[in-house]
Amino acid sequence: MTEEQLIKGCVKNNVACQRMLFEQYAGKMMTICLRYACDKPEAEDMLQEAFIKIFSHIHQYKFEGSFEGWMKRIVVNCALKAIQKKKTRFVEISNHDAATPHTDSFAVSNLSEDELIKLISNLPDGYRVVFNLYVMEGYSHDEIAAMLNIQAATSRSQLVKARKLLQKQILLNQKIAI
Amino acid sequence: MTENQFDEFFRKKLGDYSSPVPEDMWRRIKQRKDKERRTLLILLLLLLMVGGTTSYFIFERRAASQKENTALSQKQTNPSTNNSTQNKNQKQTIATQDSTTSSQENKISSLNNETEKSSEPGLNKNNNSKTNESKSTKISNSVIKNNVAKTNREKNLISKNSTDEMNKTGREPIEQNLEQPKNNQANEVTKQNEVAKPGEQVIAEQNNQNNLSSKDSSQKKLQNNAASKEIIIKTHSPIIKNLFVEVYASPDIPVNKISSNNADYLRHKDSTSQMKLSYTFGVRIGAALGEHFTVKTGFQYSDINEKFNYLNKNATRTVPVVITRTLTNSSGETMMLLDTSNLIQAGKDYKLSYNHYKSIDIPILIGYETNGERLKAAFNTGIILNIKTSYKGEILDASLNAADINSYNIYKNNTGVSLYFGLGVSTKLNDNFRLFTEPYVRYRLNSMTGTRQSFSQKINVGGLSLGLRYNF
Repeated sequence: MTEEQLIKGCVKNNVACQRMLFEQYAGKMMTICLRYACDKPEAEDMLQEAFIKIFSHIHQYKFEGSFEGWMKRIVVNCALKAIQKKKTRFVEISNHDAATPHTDSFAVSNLSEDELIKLISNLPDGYRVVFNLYVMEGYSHDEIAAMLNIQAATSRSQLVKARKLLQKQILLNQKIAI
Repeated sequence: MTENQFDEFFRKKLGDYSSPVPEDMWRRIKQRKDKERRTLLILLLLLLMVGGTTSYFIFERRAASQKENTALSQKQTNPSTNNSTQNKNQKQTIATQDSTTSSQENKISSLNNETEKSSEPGLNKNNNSKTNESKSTKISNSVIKNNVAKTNREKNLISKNSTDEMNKTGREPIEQNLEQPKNNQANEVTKQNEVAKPGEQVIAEQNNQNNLSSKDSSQKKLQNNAASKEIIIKTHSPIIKNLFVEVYASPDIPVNKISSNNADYLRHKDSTSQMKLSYTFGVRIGAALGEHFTVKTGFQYSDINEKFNYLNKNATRTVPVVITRTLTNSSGETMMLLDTSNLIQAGKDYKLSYNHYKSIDIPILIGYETNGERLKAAFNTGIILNIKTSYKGEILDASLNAADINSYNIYKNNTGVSLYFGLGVSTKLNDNFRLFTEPYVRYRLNSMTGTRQSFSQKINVGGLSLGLRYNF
């Protein structure tokens, strides 16, 4: 069955097609949810919510652009909605002078995907959201500012802080491993 | 490693990575979809029922008003059957009267001819004429008497018609015009009694006929006038006609207001609580005071829903571990050793539950309604007295742990008085039923928590009532 046939089957509310679509893309969408959530149960809630929305809005997909990209946008929106419900505060950071820890590529490359996901999920909510939107989803700071109703400068500072924290954590893990 | 390299590394590693998905995830998604479909069906059914009931009442009202209009138009063009038969009788009497008068006329004219014939020769003629005159006078008198008797009979018929009409349609008896022809007739009769000459007899007869015909037309006029003036008399008793009963239901949006001296607790409580769509339904009995004011009271049931999600990052779990070892000694005997220990696992504990704040209240409201037969605006205000409130679910206790909502007597069983403000519109479905909708606000005056608690909580509600009023 081609992707088009699968999508058309889902539009007709064919349960078998919906199940096939779920099994094909659930893993990648789960990765996105794990990046945005602070723990697995929250990520599962996000994934459930996202797929409900995907199935109810699949008739709006006009076969223009990547279907995976369309699904990812829905998952990211659901994740943002869930985080915003938690009333996450984005605090403007004025101190950018603290030195960024130096991480070598060897230390980073040794990390597995699950470890990287865990590192991201351990970030505070605001840092995590901005890091994901900028680094993983490719949004600009202006776009992030509009989505999260913050200033672009706040978005930049959150990203800087997120990188510092991640690098610090990677170094710490490297020291423990040694 | 530069920032760009750092970002690129994350993108490459995690861009296409598929994480393991829980096995029951598809089942959860399917269950949720089925639940949403069921909810949608129920809402559609409810909408159909409300729409069908409303349409039924509207069409019934239109049909009833159309029936009234056709009945009215029929009455105006063709008065009631009783009246028509009575009119027939009257016409018959008039016709017979006409025929008798015409026969009398013939007699008089024949008498006159005889008088004329006999008037030519001498005294005999005079005598004859005199006798003829006396005869004719007698005849005219008898004719007049007959006419008077028949006129009286007709008067009785007319008065009978008018009383019948009044009883049927509640019309006021219109007797004024009846008096006039009566008087006219009486005057005519007296005139006729005074002067009895053949020529005048004919004129009198003609006048009688004219009176009869004019009486007939005036009678018809009366009936038309009476038909056009419809006076509807209500038969309800003065007390019960002011009463009404209402049933209503409302989806509610609750707004949680929490205050505490402990900022940390407040922050955690805020993040664990999320108000959800709630509902209220009830029944009220009311009375109209004058044209505009109303008072209402009754019973209502409310259910406020709240989502509680709690994460304990320092949760521990104790798992008993039993290790079985088999030992063989030098003599070949085997021994089994059981080594029992407890393994303490540290991790995160995530809880999700739905809390319910259920209350039974008595609303006491006064209202002001605008004038209007079909559409009315109303403003209602008053108090809502809480009878009992019960709770179900979990909340965050003072030590930031999830606890049963009924533990530590945190919440009161009676939350006191709330203020009610509502502004709505109602539309008439028929003479007894009105459909109303009323957005409202319910504001709590007292906290729902006890005085010794670390936080104070009030849940205010905004809703949209939809209901049906029955007027007695």
